[in-house]
Amino acid sequence: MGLDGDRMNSSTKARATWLMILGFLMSTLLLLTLFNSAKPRILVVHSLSKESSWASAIDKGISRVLSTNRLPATVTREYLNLDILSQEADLDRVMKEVRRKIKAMDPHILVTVDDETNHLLGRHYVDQNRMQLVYTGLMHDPGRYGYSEDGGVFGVREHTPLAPLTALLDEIGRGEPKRIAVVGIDDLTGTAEMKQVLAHDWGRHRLVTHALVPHFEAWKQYVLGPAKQADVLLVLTIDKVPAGDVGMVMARESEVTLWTETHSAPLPIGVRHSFVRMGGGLAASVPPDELGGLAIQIAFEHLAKPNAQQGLKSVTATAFDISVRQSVLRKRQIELPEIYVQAARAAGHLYP
Amino acid sequence: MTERIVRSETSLQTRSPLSDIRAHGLLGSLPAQALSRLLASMDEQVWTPGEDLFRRGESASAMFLIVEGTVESLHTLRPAQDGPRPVLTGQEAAGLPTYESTVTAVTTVRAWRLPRQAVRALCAQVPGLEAALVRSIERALQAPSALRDDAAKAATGSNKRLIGWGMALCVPPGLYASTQAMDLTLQASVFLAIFGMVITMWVFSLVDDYIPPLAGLICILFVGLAPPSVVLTSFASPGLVTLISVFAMAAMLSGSGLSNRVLLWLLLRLPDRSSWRQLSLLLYGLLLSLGTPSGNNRMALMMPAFDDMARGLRLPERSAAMTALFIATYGGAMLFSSTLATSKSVTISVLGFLPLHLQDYYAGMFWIGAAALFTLGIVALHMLGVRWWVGPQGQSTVNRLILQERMHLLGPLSLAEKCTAVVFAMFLLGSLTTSIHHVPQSGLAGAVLVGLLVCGVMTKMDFQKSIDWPMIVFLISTDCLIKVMGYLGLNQDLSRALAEHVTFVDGNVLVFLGLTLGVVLLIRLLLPIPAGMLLSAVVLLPVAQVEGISPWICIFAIGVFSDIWFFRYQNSIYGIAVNAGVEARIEESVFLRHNLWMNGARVLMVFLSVPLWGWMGIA
Repeated sequence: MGLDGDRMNSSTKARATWLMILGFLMSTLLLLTLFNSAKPRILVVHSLSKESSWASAIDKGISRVLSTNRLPATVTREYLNLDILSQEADLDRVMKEVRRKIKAMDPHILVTVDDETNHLLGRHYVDQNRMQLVYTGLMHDPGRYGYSEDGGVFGVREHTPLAPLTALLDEIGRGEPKRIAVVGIDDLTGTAEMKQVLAHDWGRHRLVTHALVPHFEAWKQYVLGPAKQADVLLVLTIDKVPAGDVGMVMARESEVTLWTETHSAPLPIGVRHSFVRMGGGLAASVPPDELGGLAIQIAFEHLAKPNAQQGLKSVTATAFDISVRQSVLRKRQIELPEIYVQAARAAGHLYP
Repeated sequence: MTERIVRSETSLQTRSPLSDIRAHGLLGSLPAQALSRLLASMDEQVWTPGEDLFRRGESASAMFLIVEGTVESLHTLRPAQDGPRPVLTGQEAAGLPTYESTVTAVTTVRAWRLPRQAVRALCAQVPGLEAALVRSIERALQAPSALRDDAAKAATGSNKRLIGWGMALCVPPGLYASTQAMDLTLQASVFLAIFGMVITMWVFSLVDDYIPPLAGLICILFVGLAPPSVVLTSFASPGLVTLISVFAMAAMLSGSGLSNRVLLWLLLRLPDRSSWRQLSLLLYGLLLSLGTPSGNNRMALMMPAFDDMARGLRLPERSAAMTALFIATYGGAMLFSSTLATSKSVTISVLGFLPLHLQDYYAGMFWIGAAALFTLGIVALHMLGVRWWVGPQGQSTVNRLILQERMHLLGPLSLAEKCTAVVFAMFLLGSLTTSIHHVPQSGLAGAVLVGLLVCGVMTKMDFQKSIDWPMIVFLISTDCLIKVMGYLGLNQDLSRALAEHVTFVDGNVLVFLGLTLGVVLLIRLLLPIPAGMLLSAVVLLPVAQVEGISPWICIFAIGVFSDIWFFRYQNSIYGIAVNAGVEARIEESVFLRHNLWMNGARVLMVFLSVPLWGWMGIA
């Protein structure tokens, strides 16, 4: 009887232990799953493709900040691929698909990169209660998209580094005033850049001509025509240059860069690092990794204190890089002060 | 259900154990190495009519080879076969936790008792044996398989286990909630909750030691607390190669029969006196420490030697001689764990915290030299302790006939033994001369592993079964947990918090050793030796760095102090002996008193080594 009692007791304990193990496994799985589903989700949407120099540089900045972040968060990137969309692509359908993905992911933070993304996507998510919108690389005024700090939308504005460019022009040649021509593509980014250029005080230098062209053919005509009268040609963003006036086929960025550098009589100066990387001689640009890094920092600040929006504020990226390709400048007999060369070397943007 | 009575009869003539084993179909076909080892653990037992050999539901502690007499087996189904040859019963010891039937002696029964541990070791050594033994039970019972492996022990009911699982259920959410209330960061709270779960599972021994850290890593990956490159970082480290290679060598030392041959040789050559026999066990332990980096493995390898000697000498249970022999066995497994960098696998992991050039420097001759005084002193104090605490042990002589029979059975050195000896010697030589050739230890160890595999000494089956993979997973996973802790900045916080309170060290080695002793003992109250060592190193190495103390002294002291234990749960190595039933055979209180003595001896010898370290320029 005693033995049977012991066995029964032991069997009850074994059953209780099994129940305990089952409870432990189920509750652990449940808690981990709950934590995972509640974990902050950040969605970054780029207008360009993953392989584009601009998007990959912004991603680099995001990754740099993420490597120092310890707050558990899921960061997903989405690319609208506007630079490589085929001629037949239906932009509305692309946007519908992206919106469906956003709905499925239900991110806590939506980071929209540059004007195109904010125009196509960001402005539709201003009044979302649960989702915080953070913009970056915005050249137009945020109000254009309905963004305001009072409305709870924060982000990073991009301003073409025109003041450092003006100082650079002072140093080129014998310091005489320069005549400036400006060329860009007639799209959202180009319009915003041109607006900044026209509003800028160029000091001793003079803006003699400017144009926003619709495609590469018009670009060539402008460079070979009106731009010839200038000493310097300011080349705005060229990562989405339509090849011709029909369809959406884009000219390769390297092709536009090399053609411009080869055929431009005035000294071309880019506003993107990629201009020099792809064969140009000189550029002053906002480092895109800075734009990515600052945006993700704002996102994490919001996640750390979601109810303390008054602590957040929008910023304008003030850092700039100098990029130099020495062989091209040498060919044009341009000699830069050593400080610019060393700045380009420090940024890793000095090419032989 | 109908119960049937079954009889198994055997011839009544008495045989030697070897001839009995050879007469049995299954056991008789085992390789000579396995037979030789089995002989060491066999014990003769006699039952009078009506006595139970074992009862259904009892813990399956042994298997029996019946050579004389008649037994009946009461169970619900069919019997084992009858026949003139020896009959095996109690095969449950090969893998089941309890016996499936009751076996009773009808006449006087004589049988060879094979302890569970020996049967399990045999099964690990001979592929397919466990399945064959288990099949023979199934045939006997002809019932749907109710087989369970050791994992089933997780569900056996005991109050401790029940409380343990309850704690594992409550501790992580409790820790999470309390640390959040203390305003810790989200990531710190989640990590501490997961770490709490791991420690609870360790403290209550809910599952095998390697499972909690692995579960912890999976939880961390599940919630994305750190990137996979950090969570799994140690799985891509040179330390992993070293661990695999050292374990492979250990497996081959044992599997090839080389270590067994060396022990037999020592026993046959040394004078037949108790002190010499104890010394031979210590020397055997030293030999194993050179190539077997796990105290558990060394103990498992030494227990058959202990059984062999105790039986051969016919030592009475709980006698002073039996206790002294066990103390020597335990000492052999433990005393030399800090003699070499590779004597403890976790030391290899801890060395990985240091810059590469320091790792190579410390792992060679330097270690042996700096640890020499400690090693000599600890052995002397061990011998003194035996004399003091155990007292006179009486006269007893070893059965040299059986030893010679076993040696004879082994025959000349096999190719596997020769290759293992050569490879082992090369590894030792290479490790000791790192400062000359500058090949990192992982490179040497890797070359040794490739050598064993290419020569065919270690087969694919050996590679799968002989290497202590769970121990490797345990060490690497624990290391990864510590790395995640570092990634989240928690160990820096811990070190910083400690550093603020230990300014009294002020570069003084003796004070630092006192601090190390306190920290290690505290951590070891919660964690097993490897995990305790890793965490102690994480906490104390930065302090040593700030205070200008040699990192080697820090690592060595942590290793030595980690071997100190007061409660049984703190030491899985003694647990192996307890599982083998050593409690009933020795005077445990004497052993525990000797252990306390050795705890003090370890502390004393570390402090006495400081002048030597000063002379060597590291203190």
